[in-house]
Amino acid sequence: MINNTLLQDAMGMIDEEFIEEIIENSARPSKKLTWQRIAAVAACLCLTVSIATLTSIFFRGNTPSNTSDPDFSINIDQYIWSTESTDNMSVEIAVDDWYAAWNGWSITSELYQTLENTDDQALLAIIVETKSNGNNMMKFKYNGTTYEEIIIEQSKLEQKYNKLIEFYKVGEWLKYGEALYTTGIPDGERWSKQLYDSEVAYYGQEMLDRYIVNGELLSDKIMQDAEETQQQIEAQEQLLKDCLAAYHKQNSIDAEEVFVKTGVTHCLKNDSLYLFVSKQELEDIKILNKSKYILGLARKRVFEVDADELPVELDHNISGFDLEKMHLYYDGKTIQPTSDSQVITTIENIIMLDQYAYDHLEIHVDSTFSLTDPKNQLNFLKYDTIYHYKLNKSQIISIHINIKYENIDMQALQRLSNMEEITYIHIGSTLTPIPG
Amino acid sequence: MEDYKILDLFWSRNEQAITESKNKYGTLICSIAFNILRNRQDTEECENDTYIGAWNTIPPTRPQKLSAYLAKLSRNIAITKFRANNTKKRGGGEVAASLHELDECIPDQSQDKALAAEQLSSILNEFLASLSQNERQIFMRRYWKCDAIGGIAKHLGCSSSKVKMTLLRTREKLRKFLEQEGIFYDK
Repeated sequence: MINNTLLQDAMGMIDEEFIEEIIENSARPSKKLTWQRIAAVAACLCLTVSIATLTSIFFRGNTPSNTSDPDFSINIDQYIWSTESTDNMSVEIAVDDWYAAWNGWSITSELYQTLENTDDQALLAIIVETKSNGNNMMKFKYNGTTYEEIIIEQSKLEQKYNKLIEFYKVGEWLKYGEALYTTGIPDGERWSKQLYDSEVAYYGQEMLDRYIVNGELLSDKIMQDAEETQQQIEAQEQLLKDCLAAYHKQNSIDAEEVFVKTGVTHCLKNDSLYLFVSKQELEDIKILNKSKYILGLARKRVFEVDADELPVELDHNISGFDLEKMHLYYDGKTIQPTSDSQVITTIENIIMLDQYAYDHLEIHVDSTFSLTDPKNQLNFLKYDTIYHYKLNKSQIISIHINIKYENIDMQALQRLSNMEEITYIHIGSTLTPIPG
Repeated sequence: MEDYKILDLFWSRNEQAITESKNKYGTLICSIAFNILRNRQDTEECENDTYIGAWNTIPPTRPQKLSAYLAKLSRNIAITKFRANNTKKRGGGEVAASLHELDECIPDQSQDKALAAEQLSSILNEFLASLSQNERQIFMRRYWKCDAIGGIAKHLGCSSSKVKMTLLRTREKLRKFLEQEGIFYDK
C-alpha cells in the first residue's frame, strides 16, 4: 500500500497536458477543432495544403433559384448553432457510446437535445463529420506517402531518438566493455554478464562502434545525431498533420458529393461540410450509408472564420519592444522573441491558429506595486476585460487582460512593454500558462 | 460559457464561477470521481470539494486548461476519499487493480525511502512524454483515470488483449525508465 500511495500521489501531480490529452481524445465531438487547428497550422506555415479554393462559400439550395448559385446567401443568424466552447470537450466524457441515434443518423447529444426540444421548422446549422475508417485512413496517400508509412517512419525516428538519449547515459558504462561485468569499473559499478549482454544486444554493435571509440564515449556526436533526429521527427510530425488535414478535406469533399444529391442547402468551408436545414428537412434526407457520418450542431465562429485570413491587420512598423519582458505562447510553446518583427509575426501566428476558438488575445502581466490603478493606467490597451490580483508576498501585481482581436494595437503593446512598472508580459490565446 | 470567462469569474471572486463550472464540467468531474469511488454520494461530495478546491486556488492560479485542472482536482480528491474509505475495508475495483498492476514498476520503500511523490511525478512526466500517443492514452486511462481494460478497448475500438499487451509493454518500459533514472533496485 505504501507503493500504491506513492504512485497515487505521483500520478496526481503529473502535467495537465497529459490529462487534457485523454479528455480531448475521449470527447469525439470536439475533434472538429483539431482539424481546424491542423488546417490553420498548415495555412500558417504556408505548406502544401492549399485551402484557398475551399474558403469560398458555395451554397446549393433546395429551391431552383438557389441551386449552384455561389452568390446565394442565407441569414445564418436564423439558424441554431452549437453553444459548446470550441476547444473543450462535451461533458459526456464517461459515456462509452458517444453518439445518439436519430432517424438512422449518428448525432451528438447536443444536436439530439436540440431536436428533442424544437419543432419541425427549427433551422439547424449542422456540421458533417465522416467517421474515421482506420483502414482507409492508413492507406490514404498524401504526396505519394500513405498515412501508415508516415506513422511507421515517425515511430522509427522516435525509437532512434529515444535510443540515442538512453545511450548518452548508458554509454558511460558500456564504454568500459567487458570490464563492466568482469572487474567492475572505477566508480564501483559492476553489472551481471546477462545485463551487459542484453544492453549490448539492445543498442547493437553499430551504435557501439559509432559512439564508443578507443574506450571513449563520443557524447557530442550522440547529441548532434539526436538533434538531427529530433528535427526529422518534427518534419515528420508536420507531414502527419498535413496528411490528416488532407484526409479530412477529402472526406468532406466526398461527403459533399453525397449530400449535393439530396438537394439540401449546404456549404463546404474551411475543409468542412455544413448543412443548413430545418428539422423536417433533416428528417427527410435520404442517403445510403447514413451510419458513415456524424452530425452535430456547427460552431458559428468556426464557420465564419476564414482559415487563411487574419481578423486584424497588425502594424509591422512598430519597433522598440522591451524584448526581455516579452513571452509569447504559440502552439504549445513559449517563445521569447529576439526581434520586434518576431513579436508581431508570432502574435499573428497565435491569432491565426486560435481564431477558430477565440475572438481575443489574452495577456498576463506582472507589475510592481507602483502600478496603483491598472484599470485606468492600462486603458490605452483598449482591453475588453482586465482583472488584477495582488501577490503580497512577492510584491507583484498579477494582471490579466483580454483584448479583442480588432482592438489589438501594436503601438500600445510596445508602450506596455516599456512601462517601468511592468516586469513580465505573457501573450497568447486564451488560457495560456501563467509564469511561475 | 467559454473557459476564459469562467476563469474571469473566479478571478473576480464571483460565485457564478462555480455554477458555470458545474454546468460545463459537472459530468466530467463526476465521471472521474465515480470511476474511482463507485459511490454516488461520495461522488457528489467529491464534486463539491472540487469546486471548493478550484475556488481556493484560482486565483492566483490561472489554469491553461480549466477542464484538465478540474479533472486533476477531482481525481486527487477522489483518491484521498478512496483511501479514507479503504482504511477499514480493503477496496477492490479498478483503482486497486490498476495500481496493483503498477506495483512491479515502483521501488520498494525500503530500497529508496527518499523517493518523493513529486520526484516520481517528474519522472512520470518524462516517461509519459516519451510514449507514443496511443501508449500514453492507454496508460493514462488505466492508471490515471482508472478505467477498466474492457472500457479502454471499447473506446479505442480494439481488443482487450491488445490493451493488456500494450499495458504490459508500457509497464516494462516504465520499469526500465525508472531503472535508468537510478531509482530502481539493481538486478
